[in-house]
Amino acid sequence: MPEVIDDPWYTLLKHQSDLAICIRALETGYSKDVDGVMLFTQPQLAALPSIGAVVAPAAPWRMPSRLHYTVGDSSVRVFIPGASA
Amino acid sequence: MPTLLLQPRFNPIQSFAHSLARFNNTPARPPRLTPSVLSHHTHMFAEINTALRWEHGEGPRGLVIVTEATPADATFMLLHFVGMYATDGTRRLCFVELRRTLESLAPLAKKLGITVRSEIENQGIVVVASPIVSDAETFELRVDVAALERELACAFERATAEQRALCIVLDDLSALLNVAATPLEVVHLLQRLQARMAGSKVPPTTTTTNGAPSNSHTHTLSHARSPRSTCSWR
Repeated sequence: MPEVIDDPWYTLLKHQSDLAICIRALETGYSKDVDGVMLFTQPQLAALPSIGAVVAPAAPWRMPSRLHYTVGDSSVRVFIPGASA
Repeated sequence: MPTLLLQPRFNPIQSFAHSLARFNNTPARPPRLTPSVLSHHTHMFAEINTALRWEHGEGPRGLVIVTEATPADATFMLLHFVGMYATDGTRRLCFVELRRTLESLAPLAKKLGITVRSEIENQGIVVVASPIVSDAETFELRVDVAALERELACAFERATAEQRALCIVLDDLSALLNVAATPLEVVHLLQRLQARMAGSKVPPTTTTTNGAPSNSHTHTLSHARSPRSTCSWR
């Protein structure tokens, strides 16, 4: 299910952009292991035809749409949601 | 509060290197990284680079929007892009100080392994001052878009002369709206910048408030090429 990003700038510029990154806090509240969530949207790739077209082109690599992150002293760590523990 | 990153969709220098390597029937070498890229900054963001395939200094291309929702802070991502592009050696990063100065970000950047001052001195980073000016008579704030475009055009020409790609960071667009620029004006500014980054000589046509077509973009670009245009290199 696509993430709803209710930022007016995002709505305004997403069709021009190649990559939109939204950084926000966790919806579930404070966590000591995770600082927030990064949402990635590639609007240009979303417009590509899916498999099932007459000639299916080689599918471009799609970056993960959602990653949790935490900023530490020596590194910025990222996790697939649910894998931070 | 969005920060924008405009980056050419392809790196002409690397493309040339790849085509040359193919011509010689030898495998293309990976881009040569300067020692600073392989230092603390890379280590800081190693996991992000791996997860998003931004390795070997190859970050996202085209127009990138970074938005943050309070209380989250996207400054670390902004500084990641600054470090990634400014220390590359094949690119020049142009930082437009719309809300924050790059100097104010320097302490945090240092923690993330980016020495802003040395990159400015090495001309990896070009700082463009805010185009928000105060009217001498009415003291009202306004955005001098033409001056901003002149500065960016100047940076673009310098980068082209040095055979470097130019990457522009606008931090951040909300500052323009706070001084009465309309969203449409900001969108048109971005379209013109994108056209310039793509090498297009024909800027998109806009309409004025009364609906008549305007060629103000052409005027802006011709001003940018005039010898009177100045640019600030700090």
